[in-house]
Amino acid sequence: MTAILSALVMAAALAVAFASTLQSDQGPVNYPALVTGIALLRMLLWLVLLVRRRVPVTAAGVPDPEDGATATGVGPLQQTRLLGFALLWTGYALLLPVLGFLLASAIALILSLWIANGHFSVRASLASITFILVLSVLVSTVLYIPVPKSGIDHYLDETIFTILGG
Amino acid sequence: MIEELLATLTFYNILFAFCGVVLGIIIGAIPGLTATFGIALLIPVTFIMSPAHGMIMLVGIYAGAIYGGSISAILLNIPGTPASIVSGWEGHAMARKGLAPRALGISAVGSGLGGLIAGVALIIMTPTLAKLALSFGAPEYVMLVVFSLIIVVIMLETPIAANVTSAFIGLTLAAVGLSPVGGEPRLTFGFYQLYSGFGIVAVLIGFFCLPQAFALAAEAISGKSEMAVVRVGASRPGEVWRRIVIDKWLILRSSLIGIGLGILPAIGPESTPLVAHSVSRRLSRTPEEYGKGSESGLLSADSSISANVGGSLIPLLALGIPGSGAAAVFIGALTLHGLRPGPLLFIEQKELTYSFFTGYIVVNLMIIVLGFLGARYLALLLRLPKGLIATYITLFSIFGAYAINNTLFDVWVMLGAAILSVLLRLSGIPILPAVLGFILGGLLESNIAISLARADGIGYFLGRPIAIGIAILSVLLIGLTTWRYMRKQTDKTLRGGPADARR
Repeated sequence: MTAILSALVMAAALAVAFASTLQSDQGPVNYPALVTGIALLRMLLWLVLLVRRRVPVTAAGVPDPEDGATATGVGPLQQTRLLGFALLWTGYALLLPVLGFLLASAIALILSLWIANGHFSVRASLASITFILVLSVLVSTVLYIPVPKSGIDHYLDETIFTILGG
Repeated sequence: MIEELLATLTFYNILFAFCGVVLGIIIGAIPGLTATFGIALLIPVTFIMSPAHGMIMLVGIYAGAIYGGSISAILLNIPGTPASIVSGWEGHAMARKGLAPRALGISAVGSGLGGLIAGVALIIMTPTLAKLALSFGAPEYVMLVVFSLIIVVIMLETPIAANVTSAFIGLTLAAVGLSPVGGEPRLTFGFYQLYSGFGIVAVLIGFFCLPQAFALAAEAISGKSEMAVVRVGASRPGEVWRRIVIDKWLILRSSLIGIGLGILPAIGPESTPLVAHSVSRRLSRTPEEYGKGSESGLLSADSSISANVGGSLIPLLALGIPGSGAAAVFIGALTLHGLRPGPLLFIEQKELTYSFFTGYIVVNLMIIVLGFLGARYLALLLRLPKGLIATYITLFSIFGAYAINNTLFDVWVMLGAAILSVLLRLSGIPILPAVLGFILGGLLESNIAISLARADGIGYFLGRPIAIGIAILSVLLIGLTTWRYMRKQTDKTLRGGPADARR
């Protein structure tokens, strides 16, 4: 069922993409329309094969050489924790511009370790804060990546450059 | 040429090779993390390096990870990477007999020697192939890309219907952005950030890193967090070298198999050891020992895997066509540095290519030394909790995707690619054809456009013997696959069994 639902979602996305290529200035016959159209047709064919159970597909999928991780069966409680893990990191990407790199990353790391390990560890949390502080210093002084910043990040930058300048 | 190669043997090149190998072995030794993952995750880090240093570090990660996968396979019978399954059969059987140090030593030296043989092939074959490729025009490139995609589609073990679907999804992703002919936006849905297409690195991180992080998080959450690794003794050089001397021709043969399969797109290091192992078994005087802890079996597997790495880099550097998923990710790294793999790289960036060759040789020498001396210590990294690894991989994936263009848009592209990767896997569609379609799609479209613009009739195409040759080869491959499928179906029907829709 998961396989069919996944294929359905992809087929819907391809249908939207195909529809957009038909409205192109190049007319209905163009390269994106051709490849998207074939992709849509192939996906629909695959969907038919899945529905008719003509292919040996399980929820874990068929062997994929690039799939290094082993398939894992998880119960409802564990599924909730896994969903929490996914939502946490999606929220991290959303809140990064608001909270800034240092605060958002520290919170995300602590919560993520809590969810993944199943227990709160003060030692792991302190190590995470230390790690993200070191990374923030490196970002400002070595890597020069303009990460989203808030009050704490600016305070850290001022402190670093005061020390370096002094 | 030797002088030019030696000139690139600088301290920094050696240092970055060392860093790459160590990181690679660590990544490869941790089950669930593949070589492709390692390269994709660390591409953003190379942004702060020179292209030569970045490429040397990445090739160190690639080769190191492929070797590192054997460590957990030997000690725990858990292949660190999918390529190490055969190493697990032989190596772990040896470890159960109390020969873990010897198995680790043989694996290290076998991997290093396989890589060195592939390094020689890389140095000799790549410039020759690149010279030939200089005579290629747009029709040849179109046929080369089509041929590569056909090989991927028919060679992967997954159903052909799924492989074709995946390849066209990749081509669709590559079609996003401004048209190479008219310059009008396609499939951008109003996002100006997509005018230059999807960021290769962001998509690759999404394809390979985030799903692995979530799989590791799932394992941690389901209680499969740590692995019981015990300390093992040091390898004895005499025992290992004796085996190497006895099996010198086996190493050469397995390496040549690895190089040959590596050159072909789609046949990555995953299936190579199976071929090399079965050939060695067939030619062995003691085939009954294979699968039960055979030192020759382990050597054939590990030398072929490493040689496959070198083989997959030959078409990448000479033609811009990757020989494996991991090699495809290298294109992302080169693009990040404003370079385009292919024959012109040898003219425009001669020093870079020579540095790369030297780096690859150094990397394999380091695998021998580091594997021999340090594998038993690096194996202790398997004790790291998976929850910790999953958390930091996720953070670095997001950070890496952001750092390429300093925009959160790439983070959302990466998340989208990760969702697509999960959907593909859930529906039983392999990801490799999509990756190759995505990487090669731009090359295909632009060369189709050039061919059509230049063609003044069918005579233009008839005057291209190389393109016609590749086209005939492609048709023959499709014909052969169809014939095999029909014969299989006929056999099944005659036996009265259900029709097999796999092929």
